Amino acid sequence: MELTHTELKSLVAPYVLGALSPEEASAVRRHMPSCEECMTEADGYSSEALSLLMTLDPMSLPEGFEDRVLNRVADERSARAPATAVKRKWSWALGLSFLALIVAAGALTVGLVDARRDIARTERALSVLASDEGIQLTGRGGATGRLVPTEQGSALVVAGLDEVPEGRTYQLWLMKGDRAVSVSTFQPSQEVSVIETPKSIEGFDRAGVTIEPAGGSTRPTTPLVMRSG
Amino acid sequence: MPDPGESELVDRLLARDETALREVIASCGAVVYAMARRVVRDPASAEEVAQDTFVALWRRPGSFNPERGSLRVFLTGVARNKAIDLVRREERLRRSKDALLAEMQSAPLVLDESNIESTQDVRAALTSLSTVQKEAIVLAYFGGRTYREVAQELGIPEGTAKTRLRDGLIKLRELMSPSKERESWS
Ligand SMILES: [Zn+2]
Repeated sequence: MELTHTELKSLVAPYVLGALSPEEASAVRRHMPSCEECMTEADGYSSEALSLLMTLDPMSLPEGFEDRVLNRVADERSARAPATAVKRKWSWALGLSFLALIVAAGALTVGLVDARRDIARTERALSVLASDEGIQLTGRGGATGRLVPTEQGSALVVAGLDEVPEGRTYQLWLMKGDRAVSVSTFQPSQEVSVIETPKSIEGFDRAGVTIEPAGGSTRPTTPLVMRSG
Repeated sequence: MPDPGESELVDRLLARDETALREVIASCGAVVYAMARRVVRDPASAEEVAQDTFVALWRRPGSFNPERGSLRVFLTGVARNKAIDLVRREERLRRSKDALLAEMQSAPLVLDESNIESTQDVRAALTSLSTVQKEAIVLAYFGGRTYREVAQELGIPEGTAKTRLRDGLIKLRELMSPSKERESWS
């Protein structure tokens, strides 16, 4: 059942507190990018205010806690290759803000980030990167992105992409099997960019980004600089 | 203001320095565990949540941004999310309404005082939330309840539950703003 704006707006506060069913949370996330009023409502609940709730009396740790954590970490170290350090420049972008965590990996797709350079909204764009929804993309140098469904189609949230050379453009593709369908050309305009598109991701299982001549191509002509899975 | 000590800790974690992880556990372990216990009924499961929190930091130290707040607040938030996920999956691990609400009375310690004048202010602030707002927020925020479950447990209509959550958040925001204004004037 389709929820109205009024119903969705009344769900924004519960959403920020993580008090929605997964279906409702998803509906709020899809609605938010296209609704200034609901975005403003969400912006009103600051992370500082929520941190007031996190008041706790410390509790002494169970005996041996530290060693148990270190043992798990040591097991992981021997089980896999050493972790690569996150490229420093982007570590903040990969990082989840406090608010982003609070909104429970909430993916508010944010078409207005670019226009406003509003920190709260950038935070929400970052929370998209950390969510499970849609298709995750990664690239060289710590570039990271996520293509998520929206009411109008889809939105790509991307961080850590370098500027493209003169006369070229990034192009986003949706893929299934051997088929690649162009979604949109784009230029990342700032550290975290949101590109809204009318194209639905339904029916596709992968996505990728190439660098193409200005204006874009009808099919990928260069290797993927970002890819999913 | 980012704490230079915490930026340095992150650098050491990125360099896979295990003593840095020990230091983080020593300084934040008690509040992280307290958060897990507040949400999760069973102490062993709560410990697991707390362990997971530190293992997650070890895997991705870059996920903490010192410019956005203290490591304590960050890790406590991670622990809360992990704990809520757990009690959503396994209802038997949820704490009872009565246990959650009983804690509203206890005087809390503040995790991060950088945003506020004094602990006293925060305590005063939290007491100015009405009891019904606090109940609803505590059940949702620490109890992992959806607003529908909040409504059910408190015996109120769903619309009222949503309103109480919203009014509580707005009150919290108002409580924050004086110190924020002070900050911008100085
Ligand atoms: Zn709306």
